[in-house]
Amino acid sequence: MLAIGLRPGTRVEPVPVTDRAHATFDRIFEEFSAPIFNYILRMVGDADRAADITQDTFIKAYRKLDSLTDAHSTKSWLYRIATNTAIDDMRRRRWVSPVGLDDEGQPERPDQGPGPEAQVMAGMLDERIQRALMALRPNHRQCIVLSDLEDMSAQDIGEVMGLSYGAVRTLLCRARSEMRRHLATEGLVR
Amino acid sequence: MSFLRPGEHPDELISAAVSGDLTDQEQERLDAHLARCETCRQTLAAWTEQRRLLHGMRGAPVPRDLAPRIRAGIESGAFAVPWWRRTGLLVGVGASLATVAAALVAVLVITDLLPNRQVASSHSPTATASVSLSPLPSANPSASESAQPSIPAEPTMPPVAAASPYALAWTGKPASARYSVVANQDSDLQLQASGPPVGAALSPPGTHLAFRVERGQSGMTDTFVTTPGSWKGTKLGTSVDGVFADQMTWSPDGRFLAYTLISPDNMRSDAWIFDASSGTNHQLTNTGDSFAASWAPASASDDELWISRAGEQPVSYLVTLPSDASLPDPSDPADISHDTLDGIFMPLVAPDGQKLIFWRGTMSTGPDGLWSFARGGMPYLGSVATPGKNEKQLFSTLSAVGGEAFTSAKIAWAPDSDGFAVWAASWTGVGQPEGFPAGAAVYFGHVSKPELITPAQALDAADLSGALRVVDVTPAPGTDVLAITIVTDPGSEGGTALPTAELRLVTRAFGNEPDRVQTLNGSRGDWLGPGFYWPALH
Repeated sequence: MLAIGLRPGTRVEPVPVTDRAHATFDRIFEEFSAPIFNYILRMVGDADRAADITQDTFIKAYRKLDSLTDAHSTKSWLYRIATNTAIDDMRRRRWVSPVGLDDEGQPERPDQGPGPEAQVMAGMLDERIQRALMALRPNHRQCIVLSDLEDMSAQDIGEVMGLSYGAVRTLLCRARSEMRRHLATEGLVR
Repeated sequence: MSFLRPGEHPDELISAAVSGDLTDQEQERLDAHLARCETCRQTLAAWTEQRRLLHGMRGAPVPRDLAPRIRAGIESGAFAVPWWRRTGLLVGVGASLATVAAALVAVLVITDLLPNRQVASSHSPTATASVSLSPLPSANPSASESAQPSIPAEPTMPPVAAASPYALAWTGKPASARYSVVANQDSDLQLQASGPPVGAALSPPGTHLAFRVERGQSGMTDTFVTTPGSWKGTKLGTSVDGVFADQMTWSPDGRFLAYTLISPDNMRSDAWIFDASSGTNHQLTNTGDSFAASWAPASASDDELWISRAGEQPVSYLVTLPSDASLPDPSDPADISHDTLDGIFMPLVAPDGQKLIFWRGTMSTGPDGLWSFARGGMPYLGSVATPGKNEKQLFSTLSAVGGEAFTSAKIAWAPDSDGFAVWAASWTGVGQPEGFPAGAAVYFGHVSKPELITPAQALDAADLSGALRVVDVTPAPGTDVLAITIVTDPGSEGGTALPTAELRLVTRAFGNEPDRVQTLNGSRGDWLGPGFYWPALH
């Protein structure tokens, strides 16, 4: 994994920066950058936007590092920041229509995974699932991604979304029902 | 369960069960209900399956520049580029979130069929961009001013994986058809279009991709051009789908795309070019019977295009497109050409610039208003240095008895300038044994072999099994591999069911060995193809 490697002494308000904070942040980035990026990617459906939102998420996380008091809650803390950042982005873009995105700074992607036909099949399948996801309401999409992609419990999802345990179960049930309709439209479930 | 009214179903418990989030007591209650409720058993099965599907989605790698971007953002105190400053975004009321999103991920890596391939770094653009297509010109000459292409003036070569024939894939639904270019790592392009892709041509430097799509069942096609990497694109025009009008060919330097548009209004066909350096398109001819054929070998400075005029005696003209002067106004190619080939139609110059395949015969327009050969239509192989001399019939065993011969066929050179493919042949002459030549067959000949096209050059019938029609044949660089797009399901009238196409990679085996076939069909109901190859393979 790639560490951030902030230079010691970097001054960023309002967090008093210490070597320990840098180490903590590097560890968080190493552990969560890929899951957070993919979580956001599934939420917004666009790799460029996901990268931008992931960037903002980690910058916010860095600034709020002192609010992270329990290392065990790092995951839900970070997903909450990511969720709020993604929702803010989606709200802003309600009136935005894309006509093309700049292509600068695209990363190199290593060749990996199964054989060509399997990859084509998997790609098409992912495409259909993503399309069904994007047809969901944002809070339904968020709930089902956290549950079925991120394997979070209703309790953890509640912490991320700021909902009670019971509310998450109700929301997740509705999200599954809605998702079933959209997957059926894609011919993936009955 | 005692709280459920008759006819109610414990959906919340089922949902929690799928997540593994039930207490023992809840599980017992649910089990008891499931034992007597088929509907809930189906719900449980469907939700379990959809969880499995979601869980199986492949993760995308983190962009490598993310860490330095975050570091820079932290050190500067700034967030990512504000959304309102990002390039290419237009503010428009009413745009839906659904159109903003939809990153498609599809993967096509074809390596084991491509011997001698170069191994290059696999930079692959990750941007997923919806594409806005500019207003289109129709084949009507007066419409040329309406084109507003948005192609960058100085496109750059996109970073791509070398051994990757890309394919255009149709992933639309009847009500919201759209296409995506299926790359080797990502699906990069989406755009609204009304039918499946049926032709593709990548410019020699790989900076521009031209492609044609069918316009539903209207019998017309739209031609587009886009830039790999940014995937910003524009529509170049709409045309009646006529034989000989489907040729899209790039000049050797990649500056010009030549194509033909047949007006749906009056069936007049004329040659057009798209200038990648300026992002504009131009109508070259105004005779109503002209077709863009192919480019002459690269000269010192200027690009030279062969344009053919259909007629009882077809004629081909070589027209110079100066690199340092404005393009000519629409005219008769005879007025601006400096070389003429009488009796020759659609000269297709091989990539090496030495050989050409062309047609001879008497042409006329049919009841549909489209030009084709009426008598003695035959394709020939000749030399660029001595056109009209030492030419050989491609189909050496066929004779035009009573003038009955080919009305048309589709022909494509292989990048090695030795192989060539012929398909969709329409033969009205005296039949030969083995049903030769067959309209449903694909023939793969070689200039270096004694027999150009005989029944032995037909691909194995099994290569095209299930094919309702062959849409496109793209020979691979440097190998005996053909990327063939075939329709396997025509769909239904009215568009309630979509047509289906498969992309098959056929490695030709000569002698008694069967060809090797790899089918790259996506999920059921998809359209995959036509394929095109990146220049790194050439």
